[in-house]
Amino acid sequence: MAGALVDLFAERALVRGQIITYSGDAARSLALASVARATADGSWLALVAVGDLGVEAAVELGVDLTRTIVVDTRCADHRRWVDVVGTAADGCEVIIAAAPPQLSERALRWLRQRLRSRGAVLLVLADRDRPARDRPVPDRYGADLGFDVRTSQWVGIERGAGTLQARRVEVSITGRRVHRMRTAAYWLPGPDGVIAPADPLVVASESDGSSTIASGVS
Amino acid sequence: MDPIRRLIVWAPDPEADLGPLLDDFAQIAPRFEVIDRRRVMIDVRGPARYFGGDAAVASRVVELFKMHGLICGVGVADGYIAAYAAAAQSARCVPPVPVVVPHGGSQRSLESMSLARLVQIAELPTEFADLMGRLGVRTCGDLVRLPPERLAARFGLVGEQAHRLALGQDRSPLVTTTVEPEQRIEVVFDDPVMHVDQVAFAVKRSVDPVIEALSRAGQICTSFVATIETEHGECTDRSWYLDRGFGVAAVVQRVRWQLEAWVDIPGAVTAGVVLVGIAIAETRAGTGEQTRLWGQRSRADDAAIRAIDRLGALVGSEAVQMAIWSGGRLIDERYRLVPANTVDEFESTAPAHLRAWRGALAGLSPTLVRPAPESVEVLDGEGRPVVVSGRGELSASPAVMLIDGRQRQILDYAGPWLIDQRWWSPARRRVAQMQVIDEVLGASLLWRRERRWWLVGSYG
Repeated sequence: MAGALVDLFAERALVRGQIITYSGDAARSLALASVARATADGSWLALVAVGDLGVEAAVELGVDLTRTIVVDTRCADHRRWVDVVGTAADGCEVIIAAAPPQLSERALRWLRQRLRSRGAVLLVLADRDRPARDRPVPDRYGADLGFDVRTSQWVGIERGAGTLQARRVEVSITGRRVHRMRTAAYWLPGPDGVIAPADPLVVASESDGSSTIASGVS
Repeated sequence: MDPIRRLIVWAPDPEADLGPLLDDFAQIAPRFEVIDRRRVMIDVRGPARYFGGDAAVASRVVELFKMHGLICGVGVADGYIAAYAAAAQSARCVPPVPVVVPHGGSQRSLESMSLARLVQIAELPTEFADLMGRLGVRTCGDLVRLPPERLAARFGLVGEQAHRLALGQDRSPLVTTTVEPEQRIEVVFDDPVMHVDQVAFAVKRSVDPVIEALSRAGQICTSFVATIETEHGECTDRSWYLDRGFGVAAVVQRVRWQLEAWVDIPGAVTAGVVLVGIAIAETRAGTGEQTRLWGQRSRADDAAIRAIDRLGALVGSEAVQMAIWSGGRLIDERYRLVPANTVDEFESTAPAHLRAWRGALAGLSPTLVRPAPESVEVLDGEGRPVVVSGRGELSASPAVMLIDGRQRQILDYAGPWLIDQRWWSPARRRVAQMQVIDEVLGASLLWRRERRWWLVGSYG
């Protein structure tokens, strides 16, 4: 992962055997950025059922395509999802999989066992889940860590001019291994193209024409 | 043995495809070898006798490509490396002027070329250039002054090959052999096949054992001829060349290119494919260069390759894919997902310096790209549809976007940018692109095409 992102993880790295969930509108970007370093260092990445991946964006976020497999399947039911993810874990140390419709406790236990024995880490992409269904996203997957990632600012475009250059996101961190919810802010990436921590938002206003919103600020 | 005098055509534009022009090219040189979509090579001796000299052939070639609106460098020299370097030099001229290195002049023409460049062109391990650089050996000129036997002793075959190539010679020409006719593979389809991936699969299955047998015999294939025939008797054949030798996936890749270029020619293909023939034209002693000398394939790589097979058994091998760079300016065509077991591990990398290709979307790319874009409506502040003029100007500032009946306020936008692709070909695509930010700070990429707006990607 990009150097600055290690602060999001208690162990300052992706930990084998863990499950991490990503929700919120900017979930994809943070998930891809989280695995970039691993692929560059020689780990293989499997993207399971994350249909419509913007390959170019993955490259911009640092993912090494020569070690990336895309499994283009619907995984209609959870049993199939578990099968595919488990098989991917045979050869890929990092897996990003779109969230399945539902997952039984038993299937989850089997999967966790599998991840541990293969030494793989699973990132569950829940960006299409409705925000407040029955349970918080990390709980649904027994996740060690859960990131909820919301865009709070775009930089680079104004009334027809420019292009999207930078995005600021607010991340809330929960999960089994997190005692109290923490928050963090990042440039994903910043105007210089680098992923870096962002200063806490002080002023948030919509009247000055900037695209900042007040939500997601601790 | 003297190196073969070669002419190489090289198109610097990463999205160029010489494929559809090759039939015209055959008028100048009936026998030519295709290196990849942007490079073609001929043994120039025959055409030179016919047209009256290397320069005459070269200017004909330049004329031909100019007529098709393609910018190409054309270089002639003894040996592959010098000819390629000459073509690259030629492409830098505006307009391109052919560069002809006189007979016997290749070594001098390479004298000041950096080793890094030699390694790149010859596809030798990059570590070789790094290592030599640290020893103070930076150019081909520096390298040829070292005793070849010491290079061979220290660096094995890579050292020996690099020395030969820096001298302007070809790679081990003495061991090049032409193989017997049984090295011809025929893939017959009982039902005509309309899909490129299906053809690729069948070819992979048939070529696999042949390349395997060659490699067991210590040989690699450096040239083959692929013939493709349709049910209506239409036929294409191309001769392909790869200096470092073809692996199975590289053969499949070439067949794929050939078929795609052929299908792109209007009216050329009217039926499904019934036959693919692969005739191995040239082999030479394998030097083991195909496995990287420094940094062998890792255990992780082997495990992943096994997982690709297992996943294939589970979900179908077409569904287990890798992304390969395919050039282009539009977000839906710059990378393509192809079945992982037909990807050449050396070729799936996107050259980083090409990513910022002119006309491509600058700034961030969408993380979600829809294979089938969704039609959306874009309205101005008074509820009138926003349109784009022929010159790429908006009729009014966009204020509202209707996606699937749901209404979204547009907070800000950028563009539109007009992109006119392949204006010379029937596959022409004209698109205006616009980025918008909506009220919940979702950012989207929209296209204006055929008088409608389409939601093509989102920044998730």
